[in-house]
Amino acid sequence: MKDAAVDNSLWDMAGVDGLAVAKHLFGEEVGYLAPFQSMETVLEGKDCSVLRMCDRNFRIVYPGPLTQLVDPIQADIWLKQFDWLTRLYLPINFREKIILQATVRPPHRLEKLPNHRAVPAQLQGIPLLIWQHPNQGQASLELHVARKNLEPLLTKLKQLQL
Amino acid sequence: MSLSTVLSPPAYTDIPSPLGPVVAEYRIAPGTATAYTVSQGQYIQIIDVSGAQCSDFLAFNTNDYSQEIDSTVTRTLNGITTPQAGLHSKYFSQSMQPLVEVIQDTCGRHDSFLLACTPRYYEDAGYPGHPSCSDNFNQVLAPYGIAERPGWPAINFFYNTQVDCHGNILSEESWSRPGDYVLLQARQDLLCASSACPDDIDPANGWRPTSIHVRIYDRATTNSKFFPAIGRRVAADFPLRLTQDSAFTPRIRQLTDDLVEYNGFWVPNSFAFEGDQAEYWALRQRAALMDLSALRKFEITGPDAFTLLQYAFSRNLKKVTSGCSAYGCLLNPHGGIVDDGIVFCFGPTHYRYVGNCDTNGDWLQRIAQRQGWAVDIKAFSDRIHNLALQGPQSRDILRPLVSFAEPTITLDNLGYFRFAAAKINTIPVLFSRTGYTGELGYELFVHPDHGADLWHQLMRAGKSSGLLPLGMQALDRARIEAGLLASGYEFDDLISPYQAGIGWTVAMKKPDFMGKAALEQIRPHPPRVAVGLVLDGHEIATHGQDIYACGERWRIGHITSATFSPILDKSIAMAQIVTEYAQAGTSVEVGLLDGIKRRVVATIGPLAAFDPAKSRVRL
Repeated sequence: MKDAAVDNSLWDMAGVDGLAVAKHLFGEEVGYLAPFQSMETVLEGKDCSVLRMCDRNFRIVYPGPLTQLVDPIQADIWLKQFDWLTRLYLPINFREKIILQATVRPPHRLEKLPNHRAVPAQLQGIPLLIWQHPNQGQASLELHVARKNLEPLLTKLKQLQL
Repeated sequence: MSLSTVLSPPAYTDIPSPLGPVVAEYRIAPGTATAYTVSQGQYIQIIDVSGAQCSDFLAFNTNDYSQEIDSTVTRTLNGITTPQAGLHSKYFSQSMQPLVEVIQDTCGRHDSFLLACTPRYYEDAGYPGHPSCSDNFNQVLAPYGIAERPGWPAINFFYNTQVDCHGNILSEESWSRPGDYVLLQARQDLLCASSACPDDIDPANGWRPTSIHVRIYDRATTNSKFFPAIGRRVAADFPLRLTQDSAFTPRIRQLTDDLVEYNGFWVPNSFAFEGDQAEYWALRQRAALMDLSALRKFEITGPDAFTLLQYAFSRNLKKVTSGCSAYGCLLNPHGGIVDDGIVFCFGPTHYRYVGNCDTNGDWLQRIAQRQGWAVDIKAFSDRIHNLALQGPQSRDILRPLVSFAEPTITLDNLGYFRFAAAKINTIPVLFSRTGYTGELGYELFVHPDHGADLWHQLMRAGKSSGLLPLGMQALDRARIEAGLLASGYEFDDLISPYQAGIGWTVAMKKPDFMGKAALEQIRPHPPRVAVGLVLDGHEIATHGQDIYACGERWRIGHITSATFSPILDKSIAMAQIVTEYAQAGTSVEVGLLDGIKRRVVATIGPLAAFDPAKSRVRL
């Protein structure tokens, strides 16, 4: 039951060698990202989105078996799929409504959030990560939220007519 | 204690003038406490009347007294021991809601670890019945229905405590001077309590408890006046200095809320939607713009200007002619580095020194007076602010903007460490080919009146080239790669240029200069020398970590600065080690964590891990 809840495309990777492994997988370009910046790439023929969370932490949206690509590298990292984290997409035209309703803690900013950027935010008390990046070639907002907050978030989004 | 509303002239002459119209004020007699309410948005100024007096502080949400300041929550959310004016300024409740925010603080040393003094403290010291802040709080809070406690977890303003390297919490006399204050803004409607601590049995209050004064200001009338600031004192005979904006800060604030206090100025740490790595790569691959106004500028003029600087500054200024500048250091008699900086020569009777310290001018003045030299030294920092535009594309960005007063000077023939009067479009600047990044670049000195316009014009001109503003995080990464020194990390007044890695700036052939005799002794065998390290693996060292000979228990040096170098893809460090291990290629061990649990092998190399030949700055 627990496994069934896992988002099979959502991966987190971190560790001392986190950047080195990210570069190995996604190329040197990933090293140019600052925390909460992201890039789109193709890995083993499949679309892949990479979000840098910290110096050596990355969140990856990839529909393939990432473990099989990472394990042979034998680096000091972990690769996990959190059963407590999930995500949902919103069309980009909801961006302004979200920005009006959500709050962030300094020094984060939400206004004028560019593409390929994410920001930790709160929507009426629900913590989420708002990530603006392309989905299947279309600009979109991806919201990462604790699984336990998914239903309350959906309810709020409906209330806000999002 | 009494409450009085002040309508006209302030009633108290023993404290600094009010910061604005006062809506209420309280004089708290020595050894007592008082409770008072404030509305959300109002300001609370807690003033140490006579100096060295602690004032413990409590705040409760008036709608729910269970919501009070929680020091543990506050420390955790801020990541610092005591909130400071700026980004990490709020005191939080247990539910992580901000109750008060520090707006200004002229003392800078407070306690957030210990209880307000308790009856038990005095009992254990043999003073049963001694008044205590906790008992005083119990008394003044009782009318509000707040239950007594044996000890109150207060914010102990002006209480000088620190945790030493053994984990002991030490307490000494307060650092606060007469009139020092903390200015808070209420983030909710609050019931507050402040004390004038009665402790006279140890040095906390200088053995002699005195009064505390609390003023309340209204938000509506004063909001715009109370800018965030940290008060710093750089020397006993220098005035308190509050953190200030540079001419560029208003523009910078449009781009980031991540500002930190640095050397008396608010400077950007990183920029919104960009960040350390992105800004760093802009610098290394394209161009970056940074505010270096925190540097201090001094004009040195007069018939003996050359003689003074030739004596006080490490370089031989005979070689530094008009339009040239030179990097070096000011020295003290024992060969220690007072400061590092750049001397700009406008002519044999006119120089400018650009360094880090407000006290530099005073130091030069003292030397001149002792020697009987005729010079005039003026602090110019408030009249000249400066930007640095650095990066391989900096020249191309500036090319269409810059025109030099002297027609023979062009961007292409302006050499490294050369400067000239110029205009950026119509803005007059002093245009200098210098920097602190290891890249081709320029520093532009401008009158503050033109600062905002200059920032705007440069950002606009560089947009198509991918120019980014650069914060301190990225700058620190770049300067470590380039082997450039930072005050307090690579040098201080006990460290010689030979230890810091800038022995090349000491012109030993000069007949006489400050510290020469000492440096002659140090030069053949300095206690340590500066080296660069490349660490195995991806862990990053930190300032102060020890360096060991491989497989040995004894230390051979320590890390002064460290970072991950994106362009080298290596963990690198600057270090100072004994000469016996300083040869390039030598393997050493950096003691991470406690120095025992994990040691990482590192290889000695040049101080500048990136471009040690300095080819990029000379492009």
